[in-house]
Amino acid sequence: MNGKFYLSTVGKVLDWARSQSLWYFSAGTSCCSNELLATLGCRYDLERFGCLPQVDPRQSDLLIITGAISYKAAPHLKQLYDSMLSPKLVLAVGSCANCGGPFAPDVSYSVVPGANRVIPVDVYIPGCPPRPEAIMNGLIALQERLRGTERASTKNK
Amino acid sequence: MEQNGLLQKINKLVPGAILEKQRFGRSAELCLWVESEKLRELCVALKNDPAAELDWLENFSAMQLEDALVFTYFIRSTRTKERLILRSSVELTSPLERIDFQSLAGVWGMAEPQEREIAELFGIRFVDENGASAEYAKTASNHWKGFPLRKSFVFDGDKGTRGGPR
Amino acid sequence: MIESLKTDLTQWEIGPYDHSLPGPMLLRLRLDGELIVAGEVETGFLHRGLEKAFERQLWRSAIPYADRLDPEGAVFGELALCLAAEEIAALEVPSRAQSIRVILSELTRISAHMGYIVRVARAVGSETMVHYVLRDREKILDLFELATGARVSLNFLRFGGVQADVTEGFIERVLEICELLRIRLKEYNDLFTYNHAFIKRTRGIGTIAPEVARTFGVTGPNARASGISFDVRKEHPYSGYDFLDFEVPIGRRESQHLGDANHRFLLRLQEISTSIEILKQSAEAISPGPFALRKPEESFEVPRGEAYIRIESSRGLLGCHLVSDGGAYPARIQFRPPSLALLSVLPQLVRGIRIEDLPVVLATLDIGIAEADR
Repeated sequence: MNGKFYLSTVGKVLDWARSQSLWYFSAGTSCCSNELLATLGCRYDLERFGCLPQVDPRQSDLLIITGAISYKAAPHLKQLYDSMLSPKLVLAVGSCANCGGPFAPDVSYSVVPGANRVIPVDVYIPGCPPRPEAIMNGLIALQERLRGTERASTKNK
Repeated sequence: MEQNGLLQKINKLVPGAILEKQRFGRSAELCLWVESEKLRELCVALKNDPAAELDWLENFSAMQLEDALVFTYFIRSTRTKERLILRSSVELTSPLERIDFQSLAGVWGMAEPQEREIAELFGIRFVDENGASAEYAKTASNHWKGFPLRKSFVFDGDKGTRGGPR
Repeated sequence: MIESLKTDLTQWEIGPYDHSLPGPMLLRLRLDGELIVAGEVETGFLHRGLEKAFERQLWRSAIPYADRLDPEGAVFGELALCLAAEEIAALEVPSRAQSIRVILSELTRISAHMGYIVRVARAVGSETMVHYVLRDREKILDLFELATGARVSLNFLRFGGVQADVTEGFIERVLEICELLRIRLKEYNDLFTYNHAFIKRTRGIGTIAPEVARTFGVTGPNARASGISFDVRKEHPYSGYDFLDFEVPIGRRESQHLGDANHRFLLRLQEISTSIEILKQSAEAISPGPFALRKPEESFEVPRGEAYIRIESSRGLLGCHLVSDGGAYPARIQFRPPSLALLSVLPQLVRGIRIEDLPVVLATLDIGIAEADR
């Protein structure tokens, strides 16, 4: 899936408009949610990219997963994703959401090794926890993917 | 109350409970090995005794030493400066079965959440004085087999919930 | 006809991913209209198997894992672990390292309390306050980055000292931050603390009575707001706190509604003042010398033994029970998180409040789900 929802020119405009206003719901668990909170603050300001935090998944386009997902919480995360309305995108922030991170399968018995085992993820942001600049970088990559102007570093080679 | 006075008092209240007295690590704190049958009696006596009044369970920790599970209770008083460490142990008979042990949830309020965790992670059934074991809502869902914090737990690696890349 | 109307209790589950909750947990409530009649807490959604992870990694990896015990107070986990290992191995920590540890602890305490103010402000609905506080929290995170290289998970303390000496200019910046925070605290008070709407939303709500706090073992700012005078920095001083002169703020017994949400909030503001005082003293009294008595790049195994250490983290008494059998891997590291007691008190606290007061009660309690579940 290359991230585009429509193929026509009208679709391109719609995609461009959507990328400028991704309202997100953050399923925050542990350490990375602190850095997401700092990204919201006035120094790094996530809202200037059009991302307004929502408290209801049904009203958001983007699901940001920060932190470790445990096997107990995984069905609830899936339910959260299912309750979002299409078109929807997922951003995995931090090593735990990418691949289990420090709680990899040979170290931890209860962390899912990556949120992509539960729901499809569009962009992965590595770091433990990633700096706010890295989170913004990931978000911009997601926006560009949606618009179709993919940067070299995010293109599938 | 100094240590000898406390020991004498305990021996009078609950005779035969103390198996051994030792120093806890390098600290000056007194650590008593208690027979597991008499544990609850001793704890109730210590809590109700007006001079000691050890009414706060600060920490309840469990660990596996070779073939036995050792429980350590760090108790102290909210009013005086009294502190005490109690220890008790139980043999690990088989790696996959739950072992019974006395529950102190009725004695101290802080025991309950920690007992719930230890029950699940070490495989213990905490039994109260009527012989009933509390049906604890699980701390975490049991998608693993066995008891994780025991040394015999085997990590069965990546469970592959969606068949993603290894 | 209205009199013959029969109403039933509604069952409502909140969680695990909800913004009014402090983290992933499930709250099962029974409501009579808007009043909460009963509540049950289910946790375990963030159980990462931290205590087993310690046993699977070498000793030197224990410190980064201890960082992740409580993400808002990373230094507290590390400090408890290092103090326990140093007690077993009888390692002496030089006084410069102790001062650096105290400075980092108090900076973490201030940053954690600022995160608390952000959550409370959000629960009450004051988004302006959120941004004011986040702006100042960034300055503290800058200090962490200057000293250790990381903003959140510091991985800076080592067994026997700290990893490296603090950068040039760090101490001066700490003193500058102290001055800045004093001014900012006054600004917060002007903007938010004495705001009529905030006081109405938090006064008399979610009161923890002192007996309840004692029974369940609640410690830290929540217990001190109920009038219980217990602070580990005074009772069991560690890392040089006995040489510092500071007063621990405690809720005054004669005030009305002692132990309610408003008192808990005010107490933490006072704690920020106390921490600023401690920071100033430590920064001014820091003495030149080694930052660790053993080389940090040497691998270190804790010899056989055990220890139990208590420290005052931003949420309460954090205990660490460390057991070593002399091997390359830890035998057992068990943490006693201060938030466990709060989770036991929560069902009692939510009984009788309205559903719209629930986020305020949850936010003012400062429960850390990451440390409660480990």
